[in-house]
Amino acid sequence: MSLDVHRADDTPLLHVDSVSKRFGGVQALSSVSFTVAAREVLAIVGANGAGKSTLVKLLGGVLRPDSGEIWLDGERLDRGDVNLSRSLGVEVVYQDLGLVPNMDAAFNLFLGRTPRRYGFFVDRRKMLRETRAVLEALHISTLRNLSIPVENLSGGQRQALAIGRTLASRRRVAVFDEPAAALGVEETEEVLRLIERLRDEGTAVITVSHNMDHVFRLADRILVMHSGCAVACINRDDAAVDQIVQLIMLGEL
Amino acid sequence: MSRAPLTGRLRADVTAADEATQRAPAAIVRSKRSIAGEHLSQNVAYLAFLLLVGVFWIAGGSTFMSSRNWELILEQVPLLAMVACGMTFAITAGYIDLSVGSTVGLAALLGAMGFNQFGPIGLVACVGIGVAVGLANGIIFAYLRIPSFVVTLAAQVIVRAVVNMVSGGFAVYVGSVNNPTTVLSSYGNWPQVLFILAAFVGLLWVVYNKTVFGQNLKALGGNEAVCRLFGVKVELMKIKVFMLVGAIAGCAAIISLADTGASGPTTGTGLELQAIAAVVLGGTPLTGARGSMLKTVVGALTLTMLADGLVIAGVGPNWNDVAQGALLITAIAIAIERKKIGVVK
Repeated sequence: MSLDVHRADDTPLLHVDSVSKRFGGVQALSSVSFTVAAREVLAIVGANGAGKSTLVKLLGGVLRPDSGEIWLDGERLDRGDVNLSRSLGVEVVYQDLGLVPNMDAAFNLFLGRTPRRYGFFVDRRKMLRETRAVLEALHISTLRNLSIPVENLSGGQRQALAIGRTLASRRRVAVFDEPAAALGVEETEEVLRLIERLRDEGTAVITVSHNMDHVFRLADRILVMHSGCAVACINRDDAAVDQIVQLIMLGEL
Repeated sequence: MSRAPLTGRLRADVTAADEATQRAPAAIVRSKRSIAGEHLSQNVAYLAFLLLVGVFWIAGGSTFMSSRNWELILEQVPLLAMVACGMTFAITAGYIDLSVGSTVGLAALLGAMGFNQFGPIGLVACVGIGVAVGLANGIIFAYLRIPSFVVTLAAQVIVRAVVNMVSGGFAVYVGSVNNPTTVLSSYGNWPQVLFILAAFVGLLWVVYNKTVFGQNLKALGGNEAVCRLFGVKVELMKIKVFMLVGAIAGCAAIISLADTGASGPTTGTGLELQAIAAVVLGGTPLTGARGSMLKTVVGALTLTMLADGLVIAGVGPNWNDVAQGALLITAIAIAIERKKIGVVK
């Protein structure tokens, strides 16, 4: 197993420092802190409403924390600015994939940072070239026509596109929100392999998952969330499934 | 044991993106018949045009097909075509601008005044007014989060009131009543006005199809929430779109001045609805996400020709509106993709 080969870097790349977020009367996150290093996979687990997705959105810059700081290699990215997070190298794969149905594969792959020529025009050639490269890297050979709307693609192809965005970027941190939800066995395996590959290439990976098999296969450390708090962060090798499940359910052992 | 008993997802995650991305993929294999149907629905703009030419050729005979009549039609098209092209931008993003008619009115009025005061340079007022109205629409729409339908409906009423106040109910002539021929008026005639229209539409076609702005516009029409999630500056886009629509309306006002040599208190009245009709007739769905500049122009041409043809055929002006309505419904009925529509409101 490749797990024996890889080793996380010692210094943390991403540093989340006691972030809190409140929605009206609901405290979605209260003072959550953790770090992730390059070549490391951190799995975040927790029940529904534990604050996982809020955390993902904070990392992606979609939301801004009420308090606390997020640092990536010496730069702050807690301003609630998607473009800042992306330009610093944080790529998020959202649970619902985040594809624009009427646009084609190439456009979706570069959504929000379409390559330009002369400042205004779409650099279509570059888009198609890089899209082909990404699909090749993902071993997707079924998608020949890159100009049809993604609503006409299969579920697996769309998933590949959403994940392919992390490959098309200069990512340093890749965040996956339920990467293998609603996928078939083969496709799930592809996704897991891709995550391992990203990690081996030096990316810090954060993956939110409900699937304990996946968590135990991928993660170096497991962060357990309960009611908006990070209740435990355990090394994979020290963790037992029962223990994690109990933490998820009760927030304590 | 190895799987935690956790299913379902956070409520906050159930966004519009879900509906869009989880929609069943359309059938990859299509029958020959549905391909034919697709061609029909995509080219309904051209078909409607050709069909009406045929009908009026039969009904109106040589009068309708005379070169003088076609000059008349083609002289009238540019105003509507330009405004409709502007409207295509708004509708593609899923928005609507009901204020363009009044904007044309105010722009034409101030443009006429500016021309009389400062000469051709005064026409800058037309574009300036268009941009200003668009900017106001865009800011209110983007930041107060009021639907564009409501924002621009209010703008329509307010701007028209301003037109009435400024004009005092009187027409303003470019040049003087006795000597209406100006530099401007020569550009309102066939064929100069068509060259202007062609250049203008060409420019807008490039903006619509080849720029990042145009692509993001279509994406906004497809799924605004996802665009926001990936860093498309949605608010800025909204403001830009309405400024563009307003600027185009301002340019159309110049054409209107060139064509008629004057602006009256009713200039541009009802133009927004005609423009929307032209866009829809051109095959752009009101829900946005796609569209075509060229087909919008054909839609505008068809509507203009319909009015002209009915007059020649001796049909009363009220029937013109009936025919326009009927044409619109028929065109949409053919073009609409019923399978893709979940809820019709």
